[in-house]
Amino acid sequence: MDEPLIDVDDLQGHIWPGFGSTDAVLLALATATPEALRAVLTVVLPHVTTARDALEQRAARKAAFQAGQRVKGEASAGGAATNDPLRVSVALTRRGLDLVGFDTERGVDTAFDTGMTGGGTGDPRRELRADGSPEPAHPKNWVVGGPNRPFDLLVTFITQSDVAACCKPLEDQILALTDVSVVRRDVGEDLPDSREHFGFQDGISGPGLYGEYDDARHGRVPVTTRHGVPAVGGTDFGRPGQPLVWPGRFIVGLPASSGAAPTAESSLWRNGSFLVYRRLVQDVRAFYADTEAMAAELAATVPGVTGPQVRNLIVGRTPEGQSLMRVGAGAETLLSINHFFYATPTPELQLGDELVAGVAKADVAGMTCPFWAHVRKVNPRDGMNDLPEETKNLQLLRRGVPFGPIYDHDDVNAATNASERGLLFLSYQRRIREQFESLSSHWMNQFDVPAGGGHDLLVGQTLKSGAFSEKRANWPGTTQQLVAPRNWVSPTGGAYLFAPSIAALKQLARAT
Amino acid sequence: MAFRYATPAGQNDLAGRPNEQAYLDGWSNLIGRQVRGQVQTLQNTLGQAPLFFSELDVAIPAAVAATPVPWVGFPRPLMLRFNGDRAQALAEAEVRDTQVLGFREPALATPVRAAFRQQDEYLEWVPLKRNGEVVGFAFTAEGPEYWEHLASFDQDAVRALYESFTGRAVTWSELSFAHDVWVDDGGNPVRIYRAGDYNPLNSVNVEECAAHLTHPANTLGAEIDLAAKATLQREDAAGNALSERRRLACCSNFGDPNRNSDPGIGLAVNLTVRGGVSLTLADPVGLYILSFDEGRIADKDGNPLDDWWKLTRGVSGRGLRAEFRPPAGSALSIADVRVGNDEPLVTGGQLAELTTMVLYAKALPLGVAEPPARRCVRRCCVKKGSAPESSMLSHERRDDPCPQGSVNAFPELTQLPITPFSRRTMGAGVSRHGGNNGSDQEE
Repeated sequence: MDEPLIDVDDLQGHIWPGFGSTDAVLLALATATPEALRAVLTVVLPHVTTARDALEQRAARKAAFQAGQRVKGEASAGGAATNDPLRVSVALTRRGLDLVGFDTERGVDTAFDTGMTGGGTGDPRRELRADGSPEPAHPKNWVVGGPNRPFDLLVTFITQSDVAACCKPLEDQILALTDVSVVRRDVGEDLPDSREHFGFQDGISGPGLYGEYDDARHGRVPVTTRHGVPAVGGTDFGRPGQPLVWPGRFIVGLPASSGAAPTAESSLWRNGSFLVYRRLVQDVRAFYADTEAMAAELAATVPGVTGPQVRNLIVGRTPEGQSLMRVGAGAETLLSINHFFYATPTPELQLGDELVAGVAKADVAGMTCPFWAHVRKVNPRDGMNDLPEETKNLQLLRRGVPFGPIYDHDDVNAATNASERGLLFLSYQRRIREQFESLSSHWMNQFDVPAGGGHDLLVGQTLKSGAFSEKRANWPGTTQQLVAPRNWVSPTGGAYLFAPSIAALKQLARAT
Repeated sequence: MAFRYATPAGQNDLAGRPNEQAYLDGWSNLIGRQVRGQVQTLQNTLGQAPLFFSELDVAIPAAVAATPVPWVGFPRPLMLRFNGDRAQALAEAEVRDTQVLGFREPALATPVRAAFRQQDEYLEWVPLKRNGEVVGFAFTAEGPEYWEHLASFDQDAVRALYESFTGRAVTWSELSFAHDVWVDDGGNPVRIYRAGDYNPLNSVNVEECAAHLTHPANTLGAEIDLAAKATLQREDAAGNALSERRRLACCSNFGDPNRNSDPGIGLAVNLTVRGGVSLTLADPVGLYILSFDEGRIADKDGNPLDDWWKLTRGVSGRGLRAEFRPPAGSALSIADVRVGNDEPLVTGGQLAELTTMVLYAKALPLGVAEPPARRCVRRCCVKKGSAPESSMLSHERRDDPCPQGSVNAFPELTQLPITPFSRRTMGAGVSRHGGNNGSDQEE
């Protein structure tokens, strides 16, 4: 099988391979004139990280880790911090593209053309809550994006640490430009052990890409390392649990399936990707309080159930990132942690020197990991899927970063606990409606799909008459239901954007 | 009381009428014959008891819950036909196809053609019009078998239902055949309809009100056939179990691999019975409208639209018919509706995309020995140069050649990979199974 050649000098590195666990500054900028927008691009363009740079940086991080040098977010083996360059990515909204004269180039992604709306995301339709106070999750009340806080560009600065200092010179240059204003500046910081604010390790699962690039030292190499995992049901894997997906599912112009020809979009779109940005606030206090209460209520009929158990089932993994399918398999490694199927037994694998434990028993009925557990809801793997597209082809390239201080569980009255915290959710995909909106609005927000049994209690949004209503899920093997009385994750900003290629950024920066 | 198959969703259109019991008994017999017939066919194929059973023969404890198998209601074959062009697929879903039902006379000379809707995920719809303006959409998941059964007991009940759907007087002549319909049954002409019999493809159904399903593949019989056959485990030429829905559908002799429904239903059944779990379709047997995603629709200003979607036949979780229209007293019209990302509502297909369909199965261990896996009896072919996962597949017998210009979509199903060793010692294309494991007798 011929894999497509990916132009890693033209593709932004944030799209692929991404930058690992990082800190980030997100600048949402409004520009009053086309000249102002082009000026921003001109300042930023020399610093935009290419995929080649990102691949080399990834290789360097891996080598440093193996040599025992300290890398942020990973266990230290002593030694100096690695070289930590500033990485930059940039994306434009539809409004931004229109401003610089590309308003007639439409139809490549209709959701992007329309912009993020409640109809696509399932965000509430009612601006006010029942008590008359503004509903912060309604797009009109957002702090960035939505109809009242529109912006034209999202510039993302990324480092392993101390991003604010690292990006300041460049940020100051941008802010000094005429007719450029900051709609929102958010700072994200990777949490210890790559956890998110509810305390669960995040970012474990993601697709790999078919495709190759030309490496100066090694010649033609795959963009996703193959570890010798056998194919299953027509799916190849990079690491165990990392299905390989055709790059056209993320990158415009590349083939989206085996044997498919590259598509024929114009140079503006080729080698770019569509970006979903959602500023998600997490109510940690409510999550813990509510799940303890839910466990207490459930324990009356399901003896012994605890708050941690309820939380683990809601997520689908333990806080350490172990899948509920793999509990009991012992300590996990990078290769083992994502090695599981739901609907079929998972075989043991010998990958090089490592024997990766399998999972003997399948979970067709959702008794071990409920269908509604977050990780199973958005990625049912080999399990039931009501949509016409294969599950692997619906996956996203996630690049989110937590923001806000860690919640102090030991001192619930700590001043920092009143601060906002959450996730700056970022994902790249080729088709926003078919991929992102399928996972969020269709699967997370509905009870019956992809396989029934409950809403996504963690992140889903259910509406009744346009306002939030409770979410429910059937506790496995019983007739009891968990009822989540409120949302623990709420959107407070967002937009659909397009991250152009390096060549397209140059095109956009030039006056027409 | 002995088990009886209930009518779909327990709908009783002859409640209180003298022939009510005969109509209910007749329906139970109709479904029972089909389910038992499938059980017998599997028994003959396997030479042992199959994992598919009838609730007429095996009592299911009340504690066994029904397992839902959902799928999206918009037809995937149309998306495939137009290479993923959604706009074209939505438009084509409104265009009628035709089929030859039979012939007017025993000489089989004059074909009887009938139009049907190209909506083959067991959900069909029509726009509801008043004075030429679209005022709503009607959706149906009811099989034609039920309506033919009802008509055989009470034509007036059928006519009255049509009147309730259309809001106008409907005559029996609009709903019935004006002449006999004959078909060729192995060289012998057989009359399948008499003049005056209910015509399931009458134009009032097809064009005006969507009383029930019309697509040739949208039948309860197809559902029962699919569920039964999907209880057979399949393996590819190398002896690997099949756990990917399209490969399983291509390998098997059930359904259409291009649809959304059939492969998903097939895989769900197949996975459920592994290890020797017995399965049947939950009573009442039917294909149902499960839910509609109201969160994805709004008016032009983004306000929610409450109560526009209503089940008008069936019950929650087992919807038979639904209508989407402004509630009484609303100042809004269909033209004011926005779907998803502010898309004007133009066709029912946009609503079908937000509609989840379902069938229900019940499974429990009954101590039946799990039959051994069988090799593929069919395979799929795809146009040369096209990607199998995103292109229309043709479903062929295993040993038949692919149509001209197409190639084997999933070679591993029926061919061992060719290696120098296999080529030297066994010859290309030799199946691992060597002798006949019975699969050849399935068709």
